[in-house]
Amino acid sequence: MIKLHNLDRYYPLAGGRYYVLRRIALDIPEGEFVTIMGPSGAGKSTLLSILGMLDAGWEGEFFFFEQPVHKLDPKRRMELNKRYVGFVFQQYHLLDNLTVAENLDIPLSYRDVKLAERKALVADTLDRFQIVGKKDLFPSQLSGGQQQLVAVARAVIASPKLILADEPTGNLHSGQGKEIMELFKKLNNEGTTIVQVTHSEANAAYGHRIIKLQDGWIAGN
Amino acid sequence: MIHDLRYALRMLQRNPGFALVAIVSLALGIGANTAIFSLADYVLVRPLAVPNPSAIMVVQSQFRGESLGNIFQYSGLSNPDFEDLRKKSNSFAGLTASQYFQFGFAPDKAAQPQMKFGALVSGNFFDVLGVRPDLGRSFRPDEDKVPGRDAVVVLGHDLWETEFASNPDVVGRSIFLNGLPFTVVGVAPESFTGSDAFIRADLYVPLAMERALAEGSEQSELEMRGLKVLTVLGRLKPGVRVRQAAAETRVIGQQLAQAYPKTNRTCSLEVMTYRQSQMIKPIVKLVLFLLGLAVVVLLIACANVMNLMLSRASARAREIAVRLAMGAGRVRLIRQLLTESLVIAVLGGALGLLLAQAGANWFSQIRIPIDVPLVIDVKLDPHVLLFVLLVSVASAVLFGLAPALQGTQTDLVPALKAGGAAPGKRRRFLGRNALVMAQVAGSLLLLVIATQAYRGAMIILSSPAGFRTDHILMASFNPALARDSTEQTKEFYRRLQEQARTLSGLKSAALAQAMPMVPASPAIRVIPEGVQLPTGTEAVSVFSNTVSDGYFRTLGVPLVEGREFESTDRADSERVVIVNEQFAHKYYPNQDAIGKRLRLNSAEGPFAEIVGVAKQSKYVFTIEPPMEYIYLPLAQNPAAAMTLMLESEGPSAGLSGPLRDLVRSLDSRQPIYGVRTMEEFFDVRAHKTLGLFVEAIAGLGVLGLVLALVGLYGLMTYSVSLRQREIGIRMAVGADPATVVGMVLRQGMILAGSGVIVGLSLSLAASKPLAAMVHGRGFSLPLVALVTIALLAMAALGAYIPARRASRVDPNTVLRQE
Repeated sequence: MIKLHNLDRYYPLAGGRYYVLRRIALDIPEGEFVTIMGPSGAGKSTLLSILGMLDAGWEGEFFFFEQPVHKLDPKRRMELNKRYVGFVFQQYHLLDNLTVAENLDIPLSYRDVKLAERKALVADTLDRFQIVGKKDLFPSQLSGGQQQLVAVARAVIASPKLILADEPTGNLHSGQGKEIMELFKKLNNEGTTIVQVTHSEANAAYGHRIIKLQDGWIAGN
Repeated sequence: MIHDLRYALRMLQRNPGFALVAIVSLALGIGANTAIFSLADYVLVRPLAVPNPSAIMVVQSQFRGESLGNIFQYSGLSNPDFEDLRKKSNSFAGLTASQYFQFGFAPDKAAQPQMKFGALVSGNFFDVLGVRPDLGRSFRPDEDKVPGRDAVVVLGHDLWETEFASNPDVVGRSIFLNGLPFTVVGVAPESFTGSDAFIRADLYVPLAMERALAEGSEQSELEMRGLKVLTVLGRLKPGVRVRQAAAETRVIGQQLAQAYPKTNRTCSLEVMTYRQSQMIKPIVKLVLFLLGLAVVVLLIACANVMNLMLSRASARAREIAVRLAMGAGRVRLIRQLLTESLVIAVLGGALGLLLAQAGANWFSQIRIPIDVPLVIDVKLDPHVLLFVLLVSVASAVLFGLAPALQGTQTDLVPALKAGGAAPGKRRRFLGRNALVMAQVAGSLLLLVIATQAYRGAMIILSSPAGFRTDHILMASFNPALARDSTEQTKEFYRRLQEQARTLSGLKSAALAQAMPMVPASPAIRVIPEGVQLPTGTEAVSVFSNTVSDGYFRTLGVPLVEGREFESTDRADSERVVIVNEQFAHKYYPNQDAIGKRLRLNSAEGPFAEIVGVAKQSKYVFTIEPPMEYIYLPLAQNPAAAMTLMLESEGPSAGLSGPLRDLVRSLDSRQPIYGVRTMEEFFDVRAHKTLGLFVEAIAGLGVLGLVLALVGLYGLMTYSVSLRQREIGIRMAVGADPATVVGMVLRQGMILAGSGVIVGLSLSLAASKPLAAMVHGRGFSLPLVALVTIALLAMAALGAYIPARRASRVDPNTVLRQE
């Protein structure tokens, strides 16, 4: 599903280049649950952004479902993002002025899904994540765990093949965190590929393997 | 305070973009207002240049139910009325009368007389007004007691400068006026303009000299109680109120009406302040209209700055929170924020003054091509400077107070943590949305008014004037200036017209007392026989013109019925008149006006028969409402000052040389003045004067649009900066750049659209008065639609730039900043 070869990400500074990622080589087959770990500043989130096509400023080779992303223009990359990728963030990043149901609807609205179908999908997802009672609430009216639950629901509603989760439990207490990780496990069992960034060994244990990053280099796989 | 000021200046220095937009916005708003106010100040507020001008009152006659040209309700006083008022009134320390008069001025007996516009004044004129001549003395009260005895003159300052090179020895010297020697007794001060702030008389002569100057007239105009042409000014006695003086004068007017029913039956005497007398002039409406538009522009500018200040208040939430945490009081912080507003307003005001100076210079270009020495001197005087100061301070409070109050309501903890003012952000943003909506609404209203006024003016200007303007040369004469008698004058004009018709290249020639489009067209009171006038109304006042035979042919004014004046219309034949269509329709609806009779001047005046109905045309000004008009034949109403109109086959300017030669050969003493083509005269009088006002209206419309677009652009830019996180999230979950552009554009267009709906409602409410301004020329809905579409297109452009910027948000960067 994902193949990275000799991938570099750097920022030009006055004294020369500052590398965030260096010669990254990585292979993630479809259906895997991968955990990326490493100290702060190691390049974990940057790697996740590149995998999700949100970061375009890298060099090297990146194949996604056999398609050479490094040769695609931004529009085509965005199409891959829309079609295959769902994101979950540490800060949930729900839209404050939209209700739970409206937040779930956003990814569908950007994928040209018809209104009737969107409504059905939102209703299904609300039901599947057992948040039907919260559908008309605004994010500020939910607990952190509930917000992350909605964020995960939003990430999966468009049936992505890949979920990228950046410290999904970082802002949750342990009980809520466990609930979310169980959810990821379930999604993975249903066939969704998951790449998560975490500092938590317990969360990492939910995955099949751990990739360790150190100062932009892969230090262990 | 000094500290606040220093800090405010430093803040502006650190935010040059903000400072520039805020100051320039205000400068445009204040500049436009100041320029228009300087015009309003000149037209409406500027007092007579005399000591204690507020005590100067104007006394006027008002004939019940009569209004000249449906515009002027008041006329002057006759000399007998003035004398009676002077004897009976106790409210005034002094009453003075004056009348503008054309003089044939010659510095010595041998010199060719030149036409000068001066005033005949009562002996106490300078004393009542409290004006002391720069040189010599003013008139003595006894110098207007005996007709023709005291040939003395006070020179106007301009005449003294131009004709006597400011020679102080001029006092005591003799000059010649209409061929009579007059002794110069004084020179008026430079600032003095006589009885009207707009007209600067060249010289002043006692009223008692009128008969001597107009030698040959059968009766002195001063003896005619029906001839109400004197401008009467009075200075109130200390302690007497305007109301008291008005009541007393009204009673005297009633006494005169009883004593002299022939001339005064329906005439009352009215007292008003000089300023009130200015406020009833037709131009006032136009000036107030411009002032109203300028205020809308200023409000749009203030809304712009307020929006900027609100944005800055949000951006400065952390700074304010820190200050509050350090123990600063709210009042203290509001004072500091208001100081910043004040600095912006004062700098905007100063820059606005420069713009206003340009505007004032532009208004001073107004030239009315008549022989009256009009003073058009729009300038930035202390009144205007005070206005700028007040507007600047008011603007500072208007745009500074709300942001200052909101800015200091910052919630400390989140502001200190996040560096922004999260709580209340939405509410503030809504307030800003409302401001931009109001700006767009105001801007649309301005644009609709400007375009409709422009359209109306263009319709009026392009519609035919009703007389020919091409191939006409005009030249003015006044044989009275050369002391010709009535008979000599008649003979001169007879020969002039006869000889002029022999000039080569000439098609026709005619004489007229008034040229078209001159505000000084004579008025006449007439009583249409058999017509029921409104109760209490004795006569109707209409503009009139005394014309020779051939006038209608020469000027190309068609007669829709009846005939032209002919050589058979002699002084001793039955009196005849020609009326215009409006007169015929108004007083003889569904009847033939030909053969109907009018009494001229009063109920005891002579009858005149209507022999023709002339096609409606423009008479005084291009935007005048259709007015009634009467033509009198020259042979039956001899006048001294006439204008010769020559219709040429080729370019009319080529006739001026041969005409001058002809006049020299006929009578070398006759001054000839105002030689110009009708085309040139009409262009300046009709097009350029109106064009200046139309350009001013259009300029204000464009200014309002630019300011509103800057406001919309600013708001959308700010909105995008606030929505960076949201846009980042949307892009992370699949929104592509085009979707983001669409989203931001939609937000901008919803705002603009809401403003447009409000603006359209206001515009439709203004449609009736607007249509009335161009005399029912209508209110063009397609033009409103066009303006609305143009505004929306501009608004889309204003929102597109921030939208493009939004689509370039890097979600990776934005989301990781949190």
